[in-house]
Amino acid sequence: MKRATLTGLLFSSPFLIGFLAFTLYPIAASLYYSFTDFNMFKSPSWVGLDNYRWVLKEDDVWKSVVNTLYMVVFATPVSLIVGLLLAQMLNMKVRGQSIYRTLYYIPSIVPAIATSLVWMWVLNPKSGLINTVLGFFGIRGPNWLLDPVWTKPSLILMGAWGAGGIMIIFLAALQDVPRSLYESAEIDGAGKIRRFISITLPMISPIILFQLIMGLITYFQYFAQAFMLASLTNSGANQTMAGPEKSLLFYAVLLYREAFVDFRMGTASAMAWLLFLITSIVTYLIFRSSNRWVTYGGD
Amino acid sequence: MNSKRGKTLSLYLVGMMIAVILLSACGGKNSDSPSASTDSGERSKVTVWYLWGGAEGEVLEEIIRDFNESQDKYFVEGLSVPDEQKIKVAIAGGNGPDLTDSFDWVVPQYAQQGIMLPLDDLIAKDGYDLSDFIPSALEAGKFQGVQYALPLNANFSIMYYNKKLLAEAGYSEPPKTSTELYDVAVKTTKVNPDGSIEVIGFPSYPSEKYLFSALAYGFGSTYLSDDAKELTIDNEGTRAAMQMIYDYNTQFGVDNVRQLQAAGKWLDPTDPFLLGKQAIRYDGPWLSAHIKKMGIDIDYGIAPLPYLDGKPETAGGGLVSSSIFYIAKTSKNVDGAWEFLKYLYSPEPLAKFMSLLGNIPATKSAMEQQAMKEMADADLIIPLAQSPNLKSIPHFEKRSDFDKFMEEELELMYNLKKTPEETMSALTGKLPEFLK
Repeated sequence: MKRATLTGLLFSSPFLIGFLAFTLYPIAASLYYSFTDFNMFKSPSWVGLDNYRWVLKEDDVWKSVVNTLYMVVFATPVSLIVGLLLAQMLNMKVRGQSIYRTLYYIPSIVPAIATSLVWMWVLNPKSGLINTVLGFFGIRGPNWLLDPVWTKPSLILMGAWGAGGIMIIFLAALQDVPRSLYESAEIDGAGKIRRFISITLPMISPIILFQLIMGLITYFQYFAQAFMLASLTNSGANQTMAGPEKSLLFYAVLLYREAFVDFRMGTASAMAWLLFLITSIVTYLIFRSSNRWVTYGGD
Repeated sequence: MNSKRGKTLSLYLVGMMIAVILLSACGGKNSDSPSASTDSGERSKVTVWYLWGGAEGEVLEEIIRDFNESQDKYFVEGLSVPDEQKIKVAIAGGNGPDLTDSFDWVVPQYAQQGIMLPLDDLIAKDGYDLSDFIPSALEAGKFQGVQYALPLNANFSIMYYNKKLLAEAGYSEPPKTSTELYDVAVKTTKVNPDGSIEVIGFPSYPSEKYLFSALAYGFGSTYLSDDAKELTIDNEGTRAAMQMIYDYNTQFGVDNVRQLQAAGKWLDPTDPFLLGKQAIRYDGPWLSAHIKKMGIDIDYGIAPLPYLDGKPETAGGGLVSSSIFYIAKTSKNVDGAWEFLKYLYSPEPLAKFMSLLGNIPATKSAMEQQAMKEMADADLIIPLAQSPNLKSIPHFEKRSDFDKFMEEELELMYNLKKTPEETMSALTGKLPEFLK
């Protein structure tokens, strides 16, 4: 072997070791465990496809799939739209622009746990900020976190508040759109909305694609906020971690419950692999569809 | 060709390197551990993790300090870990505590999952006297005839009432029967013009889930036969408890009840009972200890749970459960853990711990200690603990599935999505499956 290769490998060994031991090995192990009955105490015993069969017929799994799809379908576009609108506004030349940019970005660096705690107060049905403001207009706000109909919208609202990460990437993309395009459109008499639709959107479409995929993956794996809210509120089912009438039972929450509450590592691993499969398929489909709506500068 | 072989070779080398590093890391850990488990004076270390935090955790730490000073063989190191999942996973991974606590209803699950170490051998070896324990509490630490855990306390709900709110509604006495309870609850509830609840008369705060079993057992219900083979849930006590919650939520609106529940947090300054905005509360004796410790100014009384109308022979009923301590199956210092467990359960330390928590200890000897007499409201609470009508739910294999199903079905009823009749038929239809 070439000396240079060895040296190179040696230098990259911290990463390689970490990757092999803490990423590749657990991934491979979970694939194996997904075909076994394993509770971490007794050694795993092979059960073939039983775990996958269980996943497909268990009511709670389907409930969690519906809840998760709700978030994927509604929360992803909402956070993208909010992020884009914020970016658009913060791209305007106004005094104190950088201060606004900082302010709107801050929520996204607040840890999920802290966000959940703050929002529990914001969403308090009696003394919370939102219901108090609604009260000024004579509207009685809902019981955000205890009403099964409103729990997921509450989470979407929380997500929109933390859209700063999405916003900052859109902001960078917006600044990359050549001014000359806007100028020529203006000369041709295009209004603000026309310019946004015909120039801005196509020009930043590669970024929209990226954000869309990241957003979908995030919401497919939705966990921390839901887990916090389900365990912090006085809402019925704390031990089941499912929230009022299982409205917060997301796929990842159920997976966690299977693995670390009920110690069914086999079914949990099977769930994880199915999630991986579904996320991959959806990502692939979006990539396929992107030929039709994403414009690359080089084309 | 050559470069390909070189590549393969280098991959082998990297693989070997990883193996060597990993093995040496493991080896390092092994050779470290004996030295880590002894402190000065060659005492062997016992790790105790507990779910309590704050002041309650400090009391336990004090007992640990006393233990450490009392002998020179073991050294106990306590750690507050208020996340039970974390403890379980750590035990499973072999890096957990030697001794830790939980609640009795986990015993069947943990025993089957292999988290708990059976104590029978240790008890036999020492001739440890179990007759000091309240029999029903001791039973709560058993599964399939094996003692997996020792009970710390006997927890049960008692009725707290706000004297001022009751007096305003024209009552000088707390309710004694189910009918009186509902009357008082309705008359003391105050509603705002928009329908929202200002003062809640019913004990549905913190939640109906928290209330239900206490209400039903107070009405003389039992869910199961003593051997846990037969479902006995379909009785007038359970039905009355269901109907009462259903009626209250129908009358005052589920949304309004939920709004009140979400507005306050249990035992914190937003708790409606502590704000004087809840007339009747079902809670454990710790509420007295909490009120005393925080110096909360509230004129309250304590009474037995109301019994079902026309059934005075079931008065003083209720559901008992226990907190427990158990030795982890993967404990590296079983003898040390056992030694500390015995110390903790000896009369004085146990009474000290329990009285500050506002709990009734699970041993008769601790109950007689002076410390217990100084517990907040001891004179009112201790007599309630003697009631022969207090019952517990016997353990069985699928207890957690049983509880989960029941919780889910009842929740639909609390939210008026199902009637009590529909709920009862769902329960009697499905629950027997979990008893097989």
